[in-house]
Amino acid sequence: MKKVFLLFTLFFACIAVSFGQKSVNGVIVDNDGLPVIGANVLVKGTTIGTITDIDGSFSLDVPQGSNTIVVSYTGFSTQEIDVMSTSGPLNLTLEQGELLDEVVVTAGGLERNKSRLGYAIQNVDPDDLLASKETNIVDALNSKVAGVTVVSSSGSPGASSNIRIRGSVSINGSNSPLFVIDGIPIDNTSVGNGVDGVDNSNRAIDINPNDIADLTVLKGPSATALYGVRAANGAIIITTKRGQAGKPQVTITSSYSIDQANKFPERQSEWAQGALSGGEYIYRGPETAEGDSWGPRLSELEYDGQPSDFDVKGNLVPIGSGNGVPAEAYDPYTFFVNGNSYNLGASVAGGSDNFRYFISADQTKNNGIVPTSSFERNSFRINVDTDISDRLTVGMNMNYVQSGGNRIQRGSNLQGVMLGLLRNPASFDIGNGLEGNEAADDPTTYIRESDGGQRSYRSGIYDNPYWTVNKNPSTDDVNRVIGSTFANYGITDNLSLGLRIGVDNYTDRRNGAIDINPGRGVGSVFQYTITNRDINSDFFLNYDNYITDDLNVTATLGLNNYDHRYIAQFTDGTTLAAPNFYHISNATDLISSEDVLTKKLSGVYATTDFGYRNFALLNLTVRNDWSSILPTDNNTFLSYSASLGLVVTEFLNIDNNILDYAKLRASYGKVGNDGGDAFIYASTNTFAQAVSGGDGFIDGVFFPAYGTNAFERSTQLGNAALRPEKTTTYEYGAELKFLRGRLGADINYFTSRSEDQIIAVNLSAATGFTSSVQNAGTITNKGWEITLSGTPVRKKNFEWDVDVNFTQIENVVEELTEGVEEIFLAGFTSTSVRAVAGSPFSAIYGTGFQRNDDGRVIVGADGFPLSDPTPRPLGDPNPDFILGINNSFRIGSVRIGALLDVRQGGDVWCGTCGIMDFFGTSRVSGDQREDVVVFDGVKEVGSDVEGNPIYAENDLAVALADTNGAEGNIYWRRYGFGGIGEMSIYDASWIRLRQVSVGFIVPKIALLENLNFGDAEITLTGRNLWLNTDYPGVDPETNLTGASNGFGLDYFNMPNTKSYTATLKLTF
Amino acid sequence: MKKNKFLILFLLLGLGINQSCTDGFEEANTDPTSLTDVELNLQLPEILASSAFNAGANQNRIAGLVMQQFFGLDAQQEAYMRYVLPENTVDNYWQLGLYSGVLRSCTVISDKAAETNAPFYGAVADIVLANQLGIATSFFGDMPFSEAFQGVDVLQPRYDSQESIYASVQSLLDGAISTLSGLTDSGGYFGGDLIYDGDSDLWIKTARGLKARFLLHTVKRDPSAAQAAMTNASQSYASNAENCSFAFGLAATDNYSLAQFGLQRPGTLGFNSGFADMLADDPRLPFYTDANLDFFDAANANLVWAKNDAVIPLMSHVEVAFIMAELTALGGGDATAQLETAIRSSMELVGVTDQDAITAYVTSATANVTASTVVEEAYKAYYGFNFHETWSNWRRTGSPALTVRPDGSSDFMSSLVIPQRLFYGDSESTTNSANVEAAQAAQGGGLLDVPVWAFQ
Repeated sequence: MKKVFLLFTLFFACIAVSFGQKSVNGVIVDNDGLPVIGANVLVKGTTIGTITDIDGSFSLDVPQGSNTIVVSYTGFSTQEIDVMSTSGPLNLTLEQGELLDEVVVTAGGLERNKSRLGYAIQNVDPDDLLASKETNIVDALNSKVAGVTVVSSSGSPGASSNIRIRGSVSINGSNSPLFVIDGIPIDNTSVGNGVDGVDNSNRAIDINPNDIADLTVLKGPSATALYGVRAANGAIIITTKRGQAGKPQVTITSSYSIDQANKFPERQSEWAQGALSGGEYIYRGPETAEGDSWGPRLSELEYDGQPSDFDVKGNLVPIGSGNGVPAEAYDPYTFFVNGNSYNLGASVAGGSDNFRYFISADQTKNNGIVPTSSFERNSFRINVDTDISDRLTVGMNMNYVQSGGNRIQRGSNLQGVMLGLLRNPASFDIGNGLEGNEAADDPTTYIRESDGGQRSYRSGIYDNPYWTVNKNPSTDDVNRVIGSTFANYGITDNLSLGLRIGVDNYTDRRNGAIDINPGRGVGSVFQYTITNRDINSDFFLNYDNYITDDLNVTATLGLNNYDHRYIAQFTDGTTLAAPNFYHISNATDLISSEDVLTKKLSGVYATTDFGYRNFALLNLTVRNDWSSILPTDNNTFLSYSASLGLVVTEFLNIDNNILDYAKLRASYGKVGNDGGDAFIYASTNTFAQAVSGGDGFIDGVFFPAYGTNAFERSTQLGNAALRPEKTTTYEYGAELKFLRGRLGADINYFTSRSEDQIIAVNLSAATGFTSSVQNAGTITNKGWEITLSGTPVRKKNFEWDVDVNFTQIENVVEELTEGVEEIFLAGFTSTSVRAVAGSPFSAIYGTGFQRNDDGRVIVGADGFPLSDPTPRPLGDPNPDFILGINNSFRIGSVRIGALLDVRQGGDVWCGTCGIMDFFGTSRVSGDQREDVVVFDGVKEVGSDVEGNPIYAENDLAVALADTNGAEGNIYWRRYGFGGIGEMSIYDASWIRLRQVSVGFIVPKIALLENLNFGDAEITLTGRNLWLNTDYPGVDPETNLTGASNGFGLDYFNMPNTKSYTATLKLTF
Repeated sequence: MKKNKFLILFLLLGLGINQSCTDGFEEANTDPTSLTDVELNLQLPEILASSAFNAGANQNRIAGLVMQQFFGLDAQQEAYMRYVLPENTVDNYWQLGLYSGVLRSCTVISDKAAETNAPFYGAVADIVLANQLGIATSFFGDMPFSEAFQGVDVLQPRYDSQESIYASVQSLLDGAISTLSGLTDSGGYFGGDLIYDGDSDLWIKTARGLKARFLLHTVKRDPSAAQAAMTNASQSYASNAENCSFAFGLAATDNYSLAQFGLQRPGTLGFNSGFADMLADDPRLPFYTDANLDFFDAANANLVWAKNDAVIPLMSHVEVAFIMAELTALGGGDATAQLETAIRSSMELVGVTDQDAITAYVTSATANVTASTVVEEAYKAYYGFNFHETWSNWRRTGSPALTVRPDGSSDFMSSLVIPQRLFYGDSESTTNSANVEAAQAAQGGGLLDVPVWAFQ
């Protein structure tokens, strides 16, 4: 693959040097004669351009065929200069005050002037996306858009990320926005990401960020009504780069990163493996296969120097009975290595008068911080368009992507890397004297030399992380084609027809195995093939005319069809015949299954904009959808919206030096929804292949078995009376610009109410069903989205810009259906996240302590808090607010950027912490092991005349770990495995330096000049370098269940990463 | 002209592709991977497998833990052993192992059997339903039944008293016996009976045995049940060859639940050393555990109750014999011979072949037979497949004498005792809260130290 890229790059370079051009240079100053630094100088109609340097000067090669350059700068009026009619250096004075009109791409790919929209929309500069150095486009959006929350599930290569615009509105349906590339909606599902297994990708990871020319976030229903149900959660509208007439513009980008884990749970390094027994901390070594770190102090142990499977220094024995070599406290985090990533991208864009092209190739490869983990993406794109006649333009976009990698077992999984690593006692060296890659490459770290069994502190009950990265592979290989053809036909100057047909087709082949674990596991292997095919077609009529001099009308009328087919074929084989052979033919027993999901959607839509003079804008949109998911006689629904924008400064003719521009806007929208793909086939009762289960700890019996097949009725009650759900949104906003553009604000407030939600409602199992799909439930969201931008300093050699994005969303599950208080979203039987009536979405739910009427914890007679048998909501993972503060400084020609990310509030369940406390490997269970405490709470001291208990402040001192007792007298063990949920709920507030970068233009050097190179730009980027949080586990930006509807769970999640990147970008 | 040509082409293409709104919608919304109707011979295997699977599943391992036959080494099993048994402990069983599992399937089969005139299937489904419902009520007390399994018609089924549940169990079994006795042909049988392959007589004997089992449960409440139990027991199996036994398979996908647990949750559950001491002179010990006190060892085919292809009786001659022995002793009779039959039957079921050892054991065990010694022997004999009856026996008779774990948790009790019941699954408190609260109130709050009605 590397060779192909090299050839590709050279090919582009060759094209570049063979075309002629004219060189233009000059100086740009403002009214005061000060140089304008960083002004954009572009060849008109192309992406060819440069920016002015610290002296305000620039130099630009204008290709043949182009003769106009455009000079623009925020807060100044834009000027166009015909360079063919000039000679010598250009000296140009930019006039302050005129505000740059921002053109945005709205629904349907329509370009609109932002000042003429009546609803909230936010553009993200593609350079800002690239600057984040994130492989996943979703992560690149983090902290950059008001109203948008992004949570990456972990730092594993290719891990999924969860994106929400204005919070979650759907309990079972998708809450992810629609991704649209060049007018074609693409798939962003993520398959997998349960509580166990590996971190799988969300499919938007296939987007090559280097291809993006423009990215717009559509937030509310007024913005998205044209896309209908699929954009019910907002939309991310991406336009890829296209060629312009003129000389080929070649861009080559190359970057290299080093990644490291940014935060680990703290471990104790004082106590050895062992158990409390008979009032003493007894050493129970790896030969016992026992799991606890409740043994003696390491300082009380030494090695015996005898050959041992478990330690190169020998077995541990009480001090005085060995060879005097003191016991060592090992650090299992030496398992993690420096990851690295590189990206090489090349593109060429250009064209002639009636044919334009953009071609790119891009390769990204990440090697993770876990040995053997990786993710790779190779993307190739061709965008072409041609004018067949004056009135007819046709074009085609083709994008082929191959992606995938080696995934690492994680989560609630005996093979999980973090599970084996964090439960490991300080006295056991998982690397057997080695660390990182060296240990991973040496089988003696994870295989016992004496008998071939697994070398681990529990004899393979939990896999040694080095075993798991070698013996439990999991790979995915995605081959994806996203293609579209389109045509635009101008019937008259004001009326045109458009046709666009796109396909998004991919196969995702996954293979994995759990090798034979001698004496423990019989081994398994699986192969999983997902094929997903979406066809989307639009046919539309556009109208744009000034009815009078003052009244402009634009209108679009369209038809849309969507055809979805998802097939997942799964073969799971168990009982492997030979070790180290990870193929399905090696399995003795096989189970196969197939899921087929098909869906069709049809829509008719119309939108019209009325613009009166420059100050009033009315937009009306209506769309009707038909969805195959819903019962045939009730499968149609209408969505509509209206929005109004009023430019107050124009309307009232306000013209002063303080307020440049003020626009007020209001919109209303009502959007119907079919509930989403979760409800395909929900209207009938069905029978599926039988499984005898209901244990919770084990797999169960799968038919066919015992020589027969068998079927059982589905536990979901079909409902033929489903009707569409609807969401109503009100939105009010203001867009303000002050001080000649030095300060800007975009303030938006919205409320939305989703009613008649289609929900798989939990039923009492006694009905014979565990769930039923019903129209039930109301979820409300309201919030503020505030964007501030300012330029505190603008001097000749120094400029400081600040952009602030503030998001505050209140998300409440107002009601579910009668008799249903909560609905499971994700997690475990013990602790989960659920939609609970009256609570914020994804409330953390589980067992808590008993509390009295005042909410105080009730402490039992033995001094320990009492646990409550009935689970309840324990925490809220939704942050109070999130704040992104992006500072950019320009000092001379050096640009420095720093993105600070603040998240206030929001809980995370650290299941990891509870288990580490239970086993005694956590820092807290080590430091506090001998502490005596009085728990904060009340104790019962009697009862009143009515028999109600009377409480007094608790004063019972109790040892956290009483050596004279048994399990029940250790605080971290008495409530059972991992404690109860309430013990592990933590505030996940953070402040982090999400992104910091330094970039500069390299002065042209002789060699490059000879090769006719243009600019060379070098950027150094740090990602996630600093994190301040009280959360005790890994980086609290984490989620066990990936891009699912549930969030707020951490159970042996993989650590997140920080990275250091150097990027070189050449354009010529 | 050229202009019109393009325009017409455009319209044709555009409208052609986007022609209709709802073509193919019905097909798109029909799941090609499932059926809407299934023949009885393809439904029956599931209820038989599920019933046998339940015998070694979570709720019965918990019974084994609180009855001190298992030992919780780690994780949840360690907590269960200390009576940390909150509402979510057996919710999987409540939902998928019981009501939306085997009980649901029994009612689906029963309804279809009635519709299609295949009474054999209906009777077998009723027998399985009665057995699973009877075992469940012994764990939980009051249960939804009379209003259960009605789907959308009754979304929040009321709980019936345990007394009426036991009555329903008896009436289901009576109905099945009457149906099967009246058959003049195969009763519409055409396959799927993995246990008796359509033999009505053996299903009748099973129903008799189950009637005896659940009559014995209620004997403290209804002394007349003793006589009825004896009558039914005597009409049940003559030997273990007639047992209602389900044979698990060797494929990893069809192993017995205890074997699956041993393999999939290693190091968390062990054999209780106290129980091993009790079995020190018992020839069954090497069939139950090994020197390491493992209850499961993939390499040890002697461990009959945790091997992959274990043969699990849903009702057995062993139990019938123990019931008769206990009833005889309770009635003041000499149960020595009956206890000997029961013990020998157990030895045979487990696979002990050393006749001298058996005789020596029987001689010693039957030296002084009382109702208590019978139940103590049943405690040893029921290990591996009949944990629910061990727990029921102990709660009903107090035998064998067990000591409450001093480190047990009393968080879910008013005072620390060996648990008398399981909590309802927490899904009930969130989907059927009014009824479950009423049921708890009707059972004295329903904490873990409150005995269920039958054992009070």
